[in-house]
Amino acid sequence: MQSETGLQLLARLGSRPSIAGVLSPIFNDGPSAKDVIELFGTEGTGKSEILLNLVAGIILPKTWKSVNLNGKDASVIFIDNDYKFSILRLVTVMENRIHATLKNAPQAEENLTNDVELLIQKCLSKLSLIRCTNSSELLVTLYSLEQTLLSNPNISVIMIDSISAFYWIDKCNGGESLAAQEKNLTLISEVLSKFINSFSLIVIATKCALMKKRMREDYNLEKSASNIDRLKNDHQEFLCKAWGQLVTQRFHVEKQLASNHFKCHCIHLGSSKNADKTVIQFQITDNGIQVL
Amino acid sequence: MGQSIVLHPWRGDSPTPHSNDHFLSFLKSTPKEGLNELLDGGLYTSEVTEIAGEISSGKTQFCLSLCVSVVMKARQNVVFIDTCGGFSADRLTEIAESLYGEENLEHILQSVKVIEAFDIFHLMTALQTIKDKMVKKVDPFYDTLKLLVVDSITAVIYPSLGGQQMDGHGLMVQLSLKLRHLAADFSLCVLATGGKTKIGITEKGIEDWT
Repeated sequence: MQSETGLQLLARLGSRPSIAGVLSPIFNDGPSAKDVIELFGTEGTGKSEILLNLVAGIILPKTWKSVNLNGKDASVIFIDNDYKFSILRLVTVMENRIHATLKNAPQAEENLTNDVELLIQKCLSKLSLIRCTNSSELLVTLYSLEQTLLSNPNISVIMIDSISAFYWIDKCNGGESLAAQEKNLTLISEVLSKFINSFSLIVIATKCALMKKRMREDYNLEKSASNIDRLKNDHQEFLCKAWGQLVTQRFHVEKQLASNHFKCHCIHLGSSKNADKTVIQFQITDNGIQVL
Repeated sequence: MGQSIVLHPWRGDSPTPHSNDHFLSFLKSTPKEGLNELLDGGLYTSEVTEIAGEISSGKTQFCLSLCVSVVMKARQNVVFIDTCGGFSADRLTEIAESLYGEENLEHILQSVKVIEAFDIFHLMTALQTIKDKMVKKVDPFYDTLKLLVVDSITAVIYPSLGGQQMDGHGLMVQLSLKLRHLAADFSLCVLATGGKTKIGITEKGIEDWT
């Protein structure tokens, strides 16, 4: 028989802060509870940058000193497998965002630099950063997160950058058997699935395009193949099946070398919402992501 | 992050420096300030920077002058991992003497440690040894270690790649992850030199840079 405190019961059954509407041009109505979002693309296409901007948008408060900051005031667990997370970049994005909003707000006070710093420090306390060096470590870390999730009902999102970081190492350690190679990632997917269902969490992960579908020989002759179809065809699930079944939305991100712009397109999996044909273009500047 | 290191330029074709994530433009002749500006202030600690260039484009020379700069300007120690036999103590002496004179020569030479590792397993063992020494804090040399140069990294990776086996990829990924962890955990600046242009070696595999 398991007993839990009232707080734990609340954390388990109660709702977590909603992050709907964050980075809205890209995510439309925003990630809703129990969504598993995958950002897929080759290197340098802006996936980690999107995650960073999401974090900035989520940990900022809704309003501050009667200025509407549009944050979601929720906590985030960020698992950095690529050792790429840059706290400086996050603070820069947050600062620029706050200053831009303050400039436009007519009722803002003057000389707020110190206060902005304090605000950012308070927001950063809502971010937990975890770094893992291999998939076993990731698995054990996820198991241990259950306690954290139980005691903190403010956590709405788990972000993983990237879920494909240990793909090659697992493949080599697993020897000949495919099951052994995918074992850790399958278990990871199961743990995530359990968290999503019991805590109504959102999971957002980046996946690097380590494997691409082989192009058909007659592909170039098909002039009618639209951009969207090409992006859809690019993806082939090379991680384990369990992960593939867990994902509910996949965002294909691409970089256009000529114009230095990034393109992003969303595909809803397992539902009939595939009618969304829009491709969003964005740029990465000092202020973060700017949708064009 | 962001330790500024003043670089001494080398004559002739400069190697093409770039960081793990983006490709910077190639500069033919680099004045001191130019190279620093190109690298946005210098080489960053907690990051792995790769220098790619064709054969004899000056990568090892670049690394040697960088070693001298780090020892004298930043007053920190350097570990130079030599995988292809290209390290020359005479050459380092030449550079050190010409820049800082004979009185500083002994200090410079004492602050640069050279480790030889001619295959990928020796390299991983060497990296593990460095990590052990930094954690245990028994050897004072490693307390002020700031720069780790691996020259060249493609020399140890290439032999294990290719063919139908995937082992090479796994080893390469493991090596690059090890370097990244070392850089991030101990705030080191890791510099790796690479072989050919047009092919980028990252932990994700070989990719074309065209």
